[in-house]
Amino acid sequence: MILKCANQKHRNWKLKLRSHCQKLEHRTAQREPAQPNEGGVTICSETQRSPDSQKLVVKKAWDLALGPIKGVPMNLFLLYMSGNSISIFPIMMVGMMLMRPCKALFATNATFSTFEGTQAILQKATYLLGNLAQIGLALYKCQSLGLLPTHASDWLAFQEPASQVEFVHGGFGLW
Amino acid sequence: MEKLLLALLILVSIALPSSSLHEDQIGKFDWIQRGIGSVHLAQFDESGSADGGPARRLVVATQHNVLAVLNTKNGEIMWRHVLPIGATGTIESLNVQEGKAVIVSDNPPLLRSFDVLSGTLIKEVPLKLHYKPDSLYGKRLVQHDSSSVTVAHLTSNTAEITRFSNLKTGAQEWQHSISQPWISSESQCGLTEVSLTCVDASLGLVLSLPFSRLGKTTGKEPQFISTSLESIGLSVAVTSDDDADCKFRSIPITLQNVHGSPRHLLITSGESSSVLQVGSDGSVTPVKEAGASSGAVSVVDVTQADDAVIYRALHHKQAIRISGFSLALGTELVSRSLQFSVGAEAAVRMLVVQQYQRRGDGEVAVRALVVMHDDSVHLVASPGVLWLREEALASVLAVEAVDLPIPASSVSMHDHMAQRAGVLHSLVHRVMLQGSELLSWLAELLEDSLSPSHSSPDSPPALYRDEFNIHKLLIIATASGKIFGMDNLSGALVWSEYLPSIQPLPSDKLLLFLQRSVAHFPHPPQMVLVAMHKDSCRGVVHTFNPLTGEPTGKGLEFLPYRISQASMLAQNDQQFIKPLLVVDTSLGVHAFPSGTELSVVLPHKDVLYIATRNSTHITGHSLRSSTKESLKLTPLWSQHFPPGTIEGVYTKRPGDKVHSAGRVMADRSVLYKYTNPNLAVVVARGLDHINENLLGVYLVDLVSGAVVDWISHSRVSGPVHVIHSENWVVYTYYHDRNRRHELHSLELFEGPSQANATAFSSLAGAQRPPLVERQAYILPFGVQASAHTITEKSITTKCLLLALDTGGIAQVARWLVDPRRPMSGGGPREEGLVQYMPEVHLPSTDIISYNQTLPRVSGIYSAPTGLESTSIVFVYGLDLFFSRVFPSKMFDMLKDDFDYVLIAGALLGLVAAALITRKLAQRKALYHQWK
Repeated sequence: MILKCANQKHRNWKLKLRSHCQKLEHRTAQREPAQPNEGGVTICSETQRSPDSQKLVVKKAWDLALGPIKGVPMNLFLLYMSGNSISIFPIMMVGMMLMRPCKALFATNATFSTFEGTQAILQKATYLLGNLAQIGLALYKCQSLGLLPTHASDWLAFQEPASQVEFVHGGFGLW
Repeated sequence: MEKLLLALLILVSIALPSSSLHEDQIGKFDWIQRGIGSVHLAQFDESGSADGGPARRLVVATQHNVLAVLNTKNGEIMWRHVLPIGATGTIESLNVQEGKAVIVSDNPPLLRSFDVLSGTLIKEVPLKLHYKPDSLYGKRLVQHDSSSVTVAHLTSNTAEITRFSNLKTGAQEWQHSISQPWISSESQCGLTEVSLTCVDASLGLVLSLPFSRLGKTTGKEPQFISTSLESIGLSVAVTSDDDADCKFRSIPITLQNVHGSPRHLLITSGESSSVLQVGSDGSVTPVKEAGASSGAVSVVDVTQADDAVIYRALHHKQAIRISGFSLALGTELVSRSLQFSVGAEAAVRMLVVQQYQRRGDGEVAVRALVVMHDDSVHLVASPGVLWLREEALASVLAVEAVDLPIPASSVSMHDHMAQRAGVLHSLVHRVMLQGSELLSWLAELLEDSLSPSHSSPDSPPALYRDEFNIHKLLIIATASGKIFGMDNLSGALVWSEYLPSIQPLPSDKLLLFLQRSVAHFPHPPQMVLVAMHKDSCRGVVHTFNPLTGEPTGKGLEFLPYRISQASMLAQNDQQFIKPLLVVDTSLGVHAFPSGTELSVVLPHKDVLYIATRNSTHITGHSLRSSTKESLKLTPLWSQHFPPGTIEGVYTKRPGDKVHSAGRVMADRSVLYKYTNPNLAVVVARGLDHINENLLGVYLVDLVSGAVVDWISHSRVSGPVHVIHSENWVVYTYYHDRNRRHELHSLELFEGPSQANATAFSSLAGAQRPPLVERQAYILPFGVQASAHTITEKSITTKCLLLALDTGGIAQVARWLVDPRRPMSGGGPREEGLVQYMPEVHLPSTDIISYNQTLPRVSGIYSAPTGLESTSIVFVYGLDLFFSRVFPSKMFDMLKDDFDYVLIAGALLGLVAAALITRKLAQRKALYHQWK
C-alpha cells in the first residue's frame, strides 16, 4: 500500500517523511488490521503534533466511530431486498451482519488505541451504539426470518410430559 | 389450475409416507400361519388313494365354519373355504364320498358339494323345510349319507324331523312333528340313520324313535322306545347345583354321534362311557367291549369294512393309546392299536380312524386323526405322530410381547450398573466390563472356530435379545386354555402349557398381565393369567414365567370367588412386581401376590371403575378408605350412559406416552394437547324413539366420572372399533342411512395455554372443558379389528392399523384422518395437513399384508422395539400374521438394500487417491527444488 500522508499543501513534506511513514505503517500493521477508511493517515499524524493535524485525528476518529451507524441504512436496504424467505443468501447475509459487529465490538479498544483525546469515551460509545444497532438490525432480520426461538412452540420439545396424579384401574365387567 | 396443483400435492403427499414392500422382501420381516379352527367333523378322502392305500387327503370341518382339506403327509392346508360366521356358515354334517365333500349347513338349510381335489363348489341344493328354522332358538341335528339327509330341530316340547332323499332337487321324503314333554332345546340327542335317540338324565332313560315307525304318512303320534340307563350300565352323576347360574355348567350325561358309523352313538356320563348300537326297530343295546374303560375315555370310531371295529382312545397323562375292538370276534385287535404321547395332558375329543391295506404285506394298517381338548390335531400312524397342528391358535384371546433377556455375559454389567456410584467410578467400571465382554466374545469366537460341532443344528437356539430388541417372545392365551410362548421372528412355538381346568371369563376374555419384566435380574420375569374355572365358574389366577412357561410362586391358584374385574397397578413393590388387583362380584378387593405390601397401593389416589355388562351404568369406586390391613372399595360416582347398553369402555394403553405436549400452529403458537391419562371412551348403543339405531360416544374422566364430551350418532350401527391414544380418538362404524362405513376422528386440546404443565390431575379445581376437534371420513371398506402402532418413545408418528373386511391389514397414516384438516384452501396451514377430503384413499402400498388375505381377524397387537422407528404388529384371528411397520419410515436405520460395498469402496478409493496424490505431489515438489 502506498501511503498518502496529510493533505495537498504539504506535498514535499510528505515525500520527506515517506520512508518514516512506511516504517511506522509496517510496524503498526501487525498490531491492528488494516481498515479501508483509515489508511496510514493516523499513523503519520501521530508524529505530527500540530493543532491542525490534531483536529484531523479527531475528525478521522469520529469518522471511524460513526462508520457503523452510517452503514445502517445501507444494511436496511440490503435486508429489505433479500426478502424473508429462508435461503442461502439471506442466511449468509444475516450471518455476516451478526458476526461483523460482534467482532468489531470485541476489537473496540484495539481500534481506538491509536486515538488519544478527550473525546475517546464518546467516540467509543458511539462506535458501540453503532455496532449494537447493526446487531439489532441483524436480530430483527433473524426475527422476521423466524430464526429466533421466541415462540412457545420453539421450546415445546423440551417440555417434560405431565406427571399423573390419580391412577385409574378397572374396565368392562368380566362377569 | 389451483385445483390441479392441489390434487397433485395430495397425490404426492399420499405417495410419500407409504413404505411399500418389494417383491424380494416378502417373508423377510413377516410371516403368516394359516389356521382352520377347532375341528369338529373330519373324514379321510379315500378316493384319491390307489388300491386301498392310505388316504392322501383329509377333509375337516371346524367350529370356526371352515371347510378344509389337509394333506395327510404333512398336515398342510391344501385348500380351505371360510364360510360366514353364525348359523349360515355352520357346518352341521360332513360326508366325503367319491372325491366329493358334501356338507349340510343349517339356516338356510343347504346341501353343498365340493370337489375334494380342487375345492370348487360342484352343486348347491336348498333343502326345503315347511317351517322356518330359528337359529337363535332350538337345537339342530343333521345326519346325512350319500343318498339322504335327515334334519331334526329340537325346541321346547317339540321335535321336527325331516328326511330328504332326493339330493338333486332337495325335495323332502317325509317330515314329522313330534310333541313330547321332555324335549327341549338342551336335550341330548343324536340322529342315526334309523332313529332319533335322546337321553334324559332326569328320567333316567334313553329314548329312541325309529323312523320305521314314522312311516310315509303322518298319522298317529309315534311312540318312543325307552331303555333305562341302568340296563346300559350307566348311572347319572349327581352334580351339586350351588353354581346354578354358572351357564357353562357341565352336562351330566351326553350323547354324541360316532365318526364313521351311522348306527352307533356314544353315551358319556361323568368318567364312564359306552357305545350304543341302535337297531332299525329302535332298540338300543350297549356294545360289550373287552377293555371297557373306566377313567379317561374318549371317542370311538367304527369302521364297517369287513367287520365292525370299535376304536377307543384312552389317555393316561401324556400317553395315548388307541385300541381296536372287533365286534365280530369280541376281542381286542392288538395289531391295530396305536400308541403315542402328546405334549399336553389333554383328553381326546375326537377320533377318526382309517383302516387300509399296507402295500407290502397286505396287512390291515391303521391311521388315526386325533383331536384333543386343547384343539391340537394329530395324525397318528404306527410309527407315531406324523404331524401336529396347534389349532388353538385360531382362537387367540390375549397376546402380550415379552422382552427377551440379555445374554448372561452382559447381565453382570447391567447388574453392577444398577448401583449408584461416582461418574469416574462408573466409567472405569464400564470400561473394564466392556473389556471383559470383548475378551469373552473373542474366547467364544476362538472356541467356535476350534470346535464347529459345538452348536448342533437341531438344538433350539437360545433366546436372547437382539441388538435392537426386535426379537421378542409373544405370550398367547387361547380360548381352549392353552398358553403358548411364540418366537415373534419365526412364528415357532417355544413352549406351550395346557390348563385343562380353565375357560375364558364370561365376557369371552382371558387377561394377561406382565407383572415383572426381564429388566430386574436376578428376579425372573413373571406373568399372570386371569381366567375362570370350568366347573365352578370361580376365578383362576395362573402365575408363570413367560420365558419358559413354568409356573412360579403359587402357580395355578383357584380363587373362592368370581372375578368381576382384574387390573394391574402401575407401581412396583419391593420385589419389582406390579401387584394385580382382583375385584370379586361382591366388590371385595384382593391383591396378588397376596403378601403385597399395601403401601404400594395406598399412597396413590387410585380409582377403580367397573362397567357392568348389559347395563347403562358405570360406577367408580375409590380405594381411599382402605386400611393397611385390608383393601376396601367405597362408591365414588355412578354415571348413566344413554341410549342403551354400554358396548365398550376404551381407555388408553397403560403407560401411553405423549412425546410432544402440544401442536404447533401455522402462526407458531402452541395448541396444547389435552392428555388426560384417565380419559376413556364409552360406547353405548340403543334405539331412538322411532326405533332407529342410535350410537352414543362419551369421553369420560374415570377419576371424577365427569363426561368431558359426548356425541350421538343416529342411524349408525356397529361394529364399532375404537382406537384411543394420546389426545385423539378414532372410531369406525357403519352408517345405516348412507349405507357405508365411516370413520370418526376426534382430537382434544387444552387450548393455547396450559393450566398445569407439570402434573395432570382430574380433580384439580375448575377445569376448562377441552376443545374437541372432530371430523368424519368415509371408509371404502369395513373394519374387522383396529389398533395403533406403538413405539418406544412415541416420537414416531402413530399409524392406525385396520384389519379390512377384504382381508388386508392397512397401515393408515394419522394425518390422513386428522380432524384438523382444513375445509377450504388458502390461509396459513399447519404442517403436514392437506385439505379435507371426505374419502380416505388408501394406496395399495399401505396394505402391510400385501396380497395375503386374512379372514376373521379378531385383534391386532402392537409392541414397541428398541428402534424408535420400528413397531411390531401381530394380527390374530383364524390366521396369525406378524410384521414390522415403520410409520415414519426407517429414519434411524439404514435400509436393508443399503450399498455397503459401494460406500466402503468409494471411501477407501478416496483415501487411497489422497495418499497417492500426496506422494506424487511431494515428488514433484522435490524435482522442482532440484531444478
